[in-house]
Amino acid sequence: MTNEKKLTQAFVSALSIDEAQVVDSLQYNTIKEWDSTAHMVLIAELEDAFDVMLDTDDIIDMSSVAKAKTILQRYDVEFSD
Amino acid sequence: MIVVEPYADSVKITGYQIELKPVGKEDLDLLLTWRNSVPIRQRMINDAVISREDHYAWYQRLQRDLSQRHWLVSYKGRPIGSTNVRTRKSGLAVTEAAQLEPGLYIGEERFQGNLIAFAPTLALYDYCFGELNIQSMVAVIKAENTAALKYNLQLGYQTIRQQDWVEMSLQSSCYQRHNENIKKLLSRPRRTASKGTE
Repeated sequence: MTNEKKLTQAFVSALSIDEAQVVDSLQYNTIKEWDSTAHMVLIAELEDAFDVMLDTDDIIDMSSVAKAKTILQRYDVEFSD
Repeated sequence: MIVVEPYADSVKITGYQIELKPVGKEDLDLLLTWRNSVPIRQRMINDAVISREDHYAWYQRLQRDLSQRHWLVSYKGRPIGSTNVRTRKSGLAVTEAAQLEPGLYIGEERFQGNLIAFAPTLALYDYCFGELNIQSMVAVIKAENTAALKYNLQLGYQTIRQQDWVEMSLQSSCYQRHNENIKKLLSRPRRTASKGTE
């Protein structure tokens, strides 16, 4: 499975949203499904999917799908775009 | 986990990546700018524009008023908002109350609706429940302020009255149960240099 696919699956699973909704522009707290509770589940899903441990600054900064990719790249997770 | 230190006639509270410093005279102009901004004002019970003169007079009264305490919220050394508690019975000091009414606004736009907006509340509530040993927090929120209502529900508040204003209550046990995970997340180590910086 590609890292893009893993990322999408993590969002779908944590936020209980459709795959089509997982686009770079999707932001925290702009849809009812992505609240603080879902954010915590999302962090757990991403850490599990990519075998990383995010630090607090990254958890706070992860305010969109695009930002999630940028942050994960710091943990040596590569994305094609 | 918070650290509470005496500061002036109040306390400074540190934890969950933020610092709560008692509001000082040097903070007043910044607070007034935030308080009079449209997004903040619209959510307040008193939504009128406050004059600089009234604001400074409020601060003078605050020095003698034991029934409320106000803090400046800083994240990474930069002020981002303000939080406060007040008693619900006049004449009662914050340190003697069983119930307190909290207030919070995040003045810096980039942190509004961000996860860090929970940090000042966690630090403040840890202090109120853990150090002041209060029984409950009672919040009064405009019915149309859906963001604040949702915020409070996520903290574990329960609605006890609903009209033009919504009154919500949070007991200590409920607060502890609801916020264990977010506290853990906000207590993790800060970013190291090897992973890049902002």
